[in-house]
Amino acid sequence: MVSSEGIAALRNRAQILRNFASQVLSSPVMGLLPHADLATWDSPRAEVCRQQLQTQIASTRQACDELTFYAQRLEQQALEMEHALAQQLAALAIAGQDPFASAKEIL
Amino acid sequence: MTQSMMFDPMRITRLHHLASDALMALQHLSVPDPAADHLVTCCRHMAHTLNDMWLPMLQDLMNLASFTQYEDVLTASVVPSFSNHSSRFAPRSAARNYVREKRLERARRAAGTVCDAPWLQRAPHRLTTWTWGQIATTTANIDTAIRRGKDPSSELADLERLLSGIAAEAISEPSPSLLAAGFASENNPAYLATITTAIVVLDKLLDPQSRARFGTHIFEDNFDLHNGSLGESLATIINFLLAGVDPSEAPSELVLVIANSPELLSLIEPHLELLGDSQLAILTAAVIDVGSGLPTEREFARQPSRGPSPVPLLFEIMSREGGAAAVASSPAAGAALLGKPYPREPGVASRMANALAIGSARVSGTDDLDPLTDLHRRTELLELLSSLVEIHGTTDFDPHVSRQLALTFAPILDDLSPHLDREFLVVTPRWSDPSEFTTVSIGPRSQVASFFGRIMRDEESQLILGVAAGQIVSQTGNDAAHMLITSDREIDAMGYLQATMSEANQLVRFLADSREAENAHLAFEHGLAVARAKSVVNVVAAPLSFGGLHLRPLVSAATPSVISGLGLSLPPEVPSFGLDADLAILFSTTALRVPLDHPELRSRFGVADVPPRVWQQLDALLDDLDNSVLPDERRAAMSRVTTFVHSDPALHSYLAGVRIGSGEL
Repeated sequence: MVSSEGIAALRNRAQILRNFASQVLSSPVMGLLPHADLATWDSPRAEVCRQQLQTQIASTRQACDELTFYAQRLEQQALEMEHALAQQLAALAIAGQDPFASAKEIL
Repeated sequence: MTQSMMFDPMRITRLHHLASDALMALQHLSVPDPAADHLVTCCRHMAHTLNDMWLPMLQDLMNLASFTQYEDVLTASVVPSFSNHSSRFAPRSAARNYVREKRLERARRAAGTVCDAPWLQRAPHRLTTWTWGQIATTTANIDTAIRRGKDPSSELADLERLLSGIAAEAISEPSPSLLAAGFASENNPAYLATITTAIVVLDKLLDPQSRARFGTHIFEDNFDLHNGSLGESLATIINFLLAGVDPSEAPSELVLVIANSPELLSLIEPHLELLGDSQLAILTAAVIDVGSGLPTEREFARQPSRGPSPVPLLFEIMSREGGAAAVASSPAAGAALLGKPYPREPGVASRMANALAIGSARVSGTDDLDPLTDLHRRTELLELLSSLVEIHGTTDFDPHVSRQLALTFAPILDDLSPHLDREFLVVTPRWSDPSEFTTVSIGPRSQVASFFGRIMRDEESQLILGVAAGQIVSQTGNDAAHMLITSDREIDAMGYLQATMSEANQLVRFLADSREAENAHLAFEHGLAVARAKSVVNVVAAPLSFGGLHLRPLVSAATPSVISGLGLSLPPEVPSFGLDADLAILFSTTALRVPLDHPELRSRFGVADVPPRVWQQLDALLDDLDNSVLPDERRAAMSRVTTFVHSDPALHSYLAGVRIGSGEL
């Protein structure tokens, strides 16, 4: 049974995850590499450091994208649930029941 | 590997701040949702990367930048050097030790870093970049392995090969001193830092603890220790780095790392011939400094038994022509050599004594503070005298060494005078706190006499000491005369003078005895006579400094008293050439100038009736004498003066009287 509480929880979770991904993307570490360019620091070990962080930043961006996508899916899911709920209420109305009473019951 | 290595200290500092902020921000990022686990893990990985890789390396680079005192690529200041230690006799204060300790700490810490530097790209004197890059990387890898307790053997052969490569280029370079200037001067501190870190790591590797930890075999397998190529490379590189470098500007980290390492020294010792005099002097001074038991040992927290021995270095440098001079030419070397315990091995003491004499003469030179007012220097000289008295043994000083010793100790002879009857214990104000006193034991009277006797085997040294002793007597006489002149009380002039002069005369007798024991020439007495002549002049001229007072009667009484108080056996005939002749000329001109320049005194000397024309002619002749430089010219000019003086009975009798009264004749 679709419930409005479930929809709200999904939306809330999606928002938290989206915010987290956004927070990570805007964190200082994501902008660190331009400050660690060759003019600042160039050596084999520097290259290793830079490469490692670059890889990790790329992974992090991907993880952020995935999380954002996941959050979108959650929101989509919430939308679908909302839609399902509306359809459920509409079906009740067609069946001659008081949709508002039913809605109260559902909600 | 051909990649260049560099960093910009300013940007590195900024990057360090940014990375620290980023790490802190990452540590606050979290969400309890399992869907974010992957992202949280990614964040954690980044935090680890920053915390474990970036920040330590950035910190090391910042330390390295600090170590090289980097300010700007074009104006980078020189690596901390001996010159920063200010005076040659600078006290080993806690602050100085602290600074030195910190520098060494930085040098050692820098060894654990990748030694990158942008100035390598722009350096005027550059070996191959890849060599420097490899050195830095290999150094860092070995140091990391050591710190983590891992076997560094895979890198050892590389290190030896790289050092050998640099050594080969150092030898083939047509202008090593120019190149070395690029190393050690302000042009390029990064080279020095890089090579210093490599040598620090090499020292770590050769340390017995490392050997015990990793097994001796890894060194034998990877270092060709037996054929000495590593030592040869090291000696060549050190020679290269220190070539043309003013000893006062010697890079202290590099020198101290080597001087503190018996292992590095033992590597170098078979190849000391590769080191130039100056380089060897710098190293020797540092090793002596370290081996002296002073706080440098604590700085390195090593066991005293591990302290390197300066003996091989000393033997090497003392066996070279000019080696002692090289030691003495280095203020750092002089400071390190003076007043330290020296090895008592046969042969070294004698050579050391000669080197010390040269060094001490330099130290006591007139270009710096007056030993009489600089209590620190005075104490150092007394301690030096004590050391020399102890170690001089049967040393025959070279004549120039004797003269330098005589010049060195002349200013402190008056310290010795009051204590000649006893053990030579000199009480002098403590230099660090003049309100307190310190006692310096010079040694038994017989040994001190023997030391001065050795010095006075050289005739000119006798003259120097004679003049110095005479000046002390003269000054004492002057003080006494002034006392007699200015005192309101009735004083027994003769008794007072005798009492006052007794200590000074003891000194004179002591030196005369020392001289007689050596059956040497009598120039000492002649030097004394000249000083006595000055004393007469000074006493006679004393009233001039008390202008306006009616003091003539007192002066008349004091003058013969001073002269008689100075009485000694008269010297035999004075030679007509050399320094003695110069002193004789000085005596005569000084004596003649008194009535010439002070007409008011002429009547007292019985020359009041000499006509003004004669004085004018005498003035011209004395000017002519003063302006004569060459010995023949001076003799001729003096001959004209003598002839002229003899032609005037009053002048002749005046000069003869002064000479007889002062002991000159």
